[in-house]
Amino acid sequence: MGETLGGFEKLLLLAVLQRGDDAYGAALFEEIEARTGRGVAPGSVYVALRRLEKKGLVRGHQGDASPERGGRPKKRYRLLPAGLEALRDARREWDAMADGLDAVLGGEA
Amino acid sequence: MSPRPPRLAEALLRLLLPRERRDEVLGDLAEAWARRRARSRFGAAAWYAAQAVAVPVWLAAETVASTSWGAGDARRSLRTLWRTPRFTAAAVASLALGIGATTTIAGAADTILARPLPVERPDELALVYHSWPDRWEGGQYGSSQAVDPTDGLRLASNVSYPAFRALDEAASDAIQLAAYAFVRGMAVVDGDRPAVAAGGMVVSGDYFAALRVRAALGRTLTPDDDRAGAPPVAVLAHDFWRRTFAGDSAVVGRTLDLNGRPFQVVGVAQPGYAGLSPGGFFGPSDVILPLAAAEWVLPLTLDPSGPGLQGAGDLHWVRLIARVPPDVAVAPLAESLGGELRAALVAHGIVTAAAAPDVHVRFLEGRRGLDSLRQGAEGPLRVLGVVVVFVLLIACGNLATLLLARGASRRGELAVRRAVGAGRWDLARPLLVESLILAGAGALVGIALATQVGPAVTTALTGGASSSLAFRVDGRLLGAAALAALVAAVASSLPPAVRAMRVDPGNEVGARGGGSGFPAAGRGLIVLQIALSMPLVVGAALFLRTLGNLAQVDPGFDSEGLVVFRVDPSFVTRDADEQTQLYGRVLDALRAAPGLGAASAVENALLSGWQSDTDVEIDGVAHHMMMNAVGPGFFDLVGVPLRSGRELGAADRGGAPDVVVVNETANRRLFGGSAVGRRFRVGERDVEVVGVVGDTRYRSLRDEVEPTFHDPWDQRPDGIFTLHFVVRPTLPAGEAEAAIRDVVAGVDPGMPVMALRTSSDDIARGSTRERLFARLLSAFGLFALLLAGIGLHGVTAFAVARRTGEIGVRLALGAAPLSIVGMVLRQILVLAGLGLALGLVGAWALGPVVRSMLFEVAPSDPATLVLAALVMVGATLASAWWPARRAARLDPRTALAPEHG
Repeated sequence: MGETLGGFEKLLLLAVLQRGDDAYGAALFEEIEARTGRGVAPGSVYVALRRLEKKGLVRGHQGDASPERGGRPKKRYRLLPAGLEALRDARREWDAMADGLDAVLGGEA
Repeated sequence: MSPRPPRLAEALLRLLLPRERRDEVLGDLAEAWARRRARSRFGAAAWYAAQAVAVPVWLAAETVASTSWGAGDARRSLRTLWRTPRFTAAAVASLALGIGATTTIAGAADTILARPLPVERPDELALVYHSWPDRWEGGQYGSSQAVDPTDGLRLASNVSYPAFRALDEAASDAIQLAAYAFVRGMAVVDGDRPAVAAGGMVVSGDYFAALRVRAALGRTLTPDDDRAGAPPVAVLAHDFWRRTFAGDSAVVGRTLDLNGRPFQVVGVAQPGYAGLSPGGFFGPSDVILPLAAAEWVLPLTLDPSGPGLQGAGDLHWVRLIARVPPDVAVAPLAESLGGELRAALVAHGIVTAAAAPDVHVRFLEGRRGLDSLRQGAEGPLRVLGVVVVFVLLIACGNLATLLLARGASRRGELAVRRAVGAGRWDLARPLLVESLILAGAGALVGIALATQVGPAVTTALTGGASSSLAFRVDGRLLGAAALAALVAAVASSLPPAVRAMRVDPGNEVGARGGGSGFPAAGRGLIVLQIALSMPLVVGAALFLRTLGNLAQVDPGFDSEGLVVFRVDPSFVTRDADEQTQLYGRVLDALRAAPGLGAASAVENALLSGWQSDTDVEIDGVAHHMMMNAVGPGFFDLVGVPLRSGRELGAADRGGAPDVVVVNETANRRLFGGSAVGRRFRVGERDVEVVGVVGDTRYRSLRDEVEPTFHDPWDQRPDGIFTLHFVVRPTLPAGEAEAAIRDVVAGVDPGMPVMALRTSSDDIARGSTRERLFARLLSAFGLFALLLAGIGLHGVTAFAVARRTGEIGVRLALGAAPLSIVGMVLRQILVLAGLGLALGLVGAWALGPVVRSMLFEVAPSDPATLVLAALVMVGATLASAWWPARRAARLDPRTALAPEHG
């Protein structure tokens, strides 16, 4: 594993993981907004997803359409094994660096 | 059916999204929009509209960064452009002119209207003015007037020195307050060298600290320099130091004579700084002195037993400027300073206690210093701004037409690419890239153009201001050029790009020829170009006629070979009698000097923009007359004919009976044609008319001749304020100038020769602006005609090519070649007529903007409009003629050959 993940990429990978089988653009906006309480720019999500696809961390494939989408098909994303590995690496790094800092950072990670 | 997101935004997204992402993004955004809509309808719509722009930008940025399609397109475009050098050159040249013109005017406007004083944080500077309702007219010495933009309150600039002290005392905790006054002229003498005229300022000791102007050499002035009894010191402006002392640093520490008094130079101010008025009514400051030196350099005659300038509460001669830190609230401060000023004015008996509540202090924007310069330049700049936007649009229209024409011939190819899966963007993108390349090249040439023309335009509009108003290439200018280039690129690639995106693979593959010819967008562009060209052609014609009309005006005198200059004896003496004697000695010396021919004097040089006027009383009736004092033999010297009586002579001096000569208009209108021998009152004087001379234009060629009298220059009871000397030298110009300087220095070396020029220079200067407009509009009008012509030629040629088959059939069936020409031209003339009509409406609508700059021609002058329309029609026919001829000469056999079917 060479590259480290950007902060937003980590968020996105986690969102994909959280949504499981139902990870597509609009669901991911909602997931991130609901959990972080921050608004997210859709454009940045698409750009990051494309980058993650290129890095081989996620894969997108054409999904089904629904009426609230104006009959347009979704593109669903699934975490690839390398993506899961990258998240685990990130978690390990975080834990290693944050070790013993609970008093400062507040609570457990 | 469920609600849909805002249609317009959705359509924009559909247009801008690459095909492979379209469904995903549109679906996601529709879903997210629906969720938001449950919370706020309006919020959701706004969010969706923002995404319609933001998402494509994100994706485009990603594409540029990752796949470098831009580079690929750029490479391809460069190759295409390289292979079509004539197209490329024409496109770059026309864009360069459009961008160059826009950049020039934007740069000039920025320089003149917006450039702040070259000091630290100029936004903190404020001019401190006050209202003075009760005593507006009297008591003020050379006050500038202004209007508070917030409530229209009329304001004046000047207060007395004691009032300044009181205000400074009250304000010094919150702000830095400084006082200053302009010195319009003084004589600077360095050792044995001839005197040099300089403008300047006197400033309070903390002025430099308040403005944060640093010294380039030595030091600036400090409060210690502004105390009574302090050694007299001076700071030189950088420009003046470079010009007069050739940048010699040894001048610091040296003692110069200013109006005959010794001042030690203690420093040179930072480069670019030239006082608070870079041009206009007050010129750049060359020499800066402490306020304490004011009595020696201001043209005031004070009562020697009085309190002096520093002590007098009724001499309002200092102006105030403040540096206000950003955290200080201005309104309460102005209110409390108003209280101080009221108290000072009441204490000195200037304003009654009853009137005092009407006195208010106001802080006006001070970042640009005084702005008399801007007021004169704003109108012309606005006109030029409209003109250059037209020029830029015409250039864009032209390039768009050329790109459309080329695109039209590639429709088959585009349709094929579309059919095999290329997205709309893929077809439109190369056009945008190509336009960007052309506009970039055009911008580079345009900037070069702006650097050549900009300085002349700026100078013509400011009449020569300080170097701080020099036109220069800076970030803002480059930004303006880049913006113009971007607008040009987008505007010129939009019509062909939209056209390319609309290519429908189903219809176009295999289909060639046929149809009515040129795409509707192309015809629209031609109409637009002609419509935009019309006002330029009309404007050029109007200003050319204005120049012609001005040249036709008979000034009434012979300006050829007349040399005019001024001296100021107040630099040497404060005594009015001595000043008069000095003027007289200069005149005598000029008359005696070999090679200078006859010499005389005049109060206001003719056609120099200055005039004097006064109220007179003729037979008990009040009249208003122009006046202009002259020396002996003036009319003979300048070639004004004597109509009756006699000319003023050497005997008509101060002390001799008061006499005047009147012009023909005065003789006719005020004296019933028999002025000689009549008497009238001018102030205290009872004057006798001894002669009538021909009419001359006085202030400028534009002004009508008014009733005017001429009195001997040394018969004015209070002495004369300004006097110009006039000579008609027989020596060549350079030698004559040297001789004049020698003669004046021989009378008194402390009086510099000022404003030496020829009378023809004055006349030329009087129409600088008209010539600038005539020149620019003619150039732009020709350019617009040329581009419209190229466009028309292209459209006609294209239409003919598309209709080759049809024309062949007509010819084969026996149509006369001339009827073919007529058929083609008819089509073109319809377009031209439409453009012409729109253009005339535009020209008519813009007329009022230039009315005041024209001379003896109305903006809606029918002859000019008809002439301009004829020129446009002529250009149209000329550019459509050759393609039409070619059509008529087609050989039906070739025209009907299968590949044209």
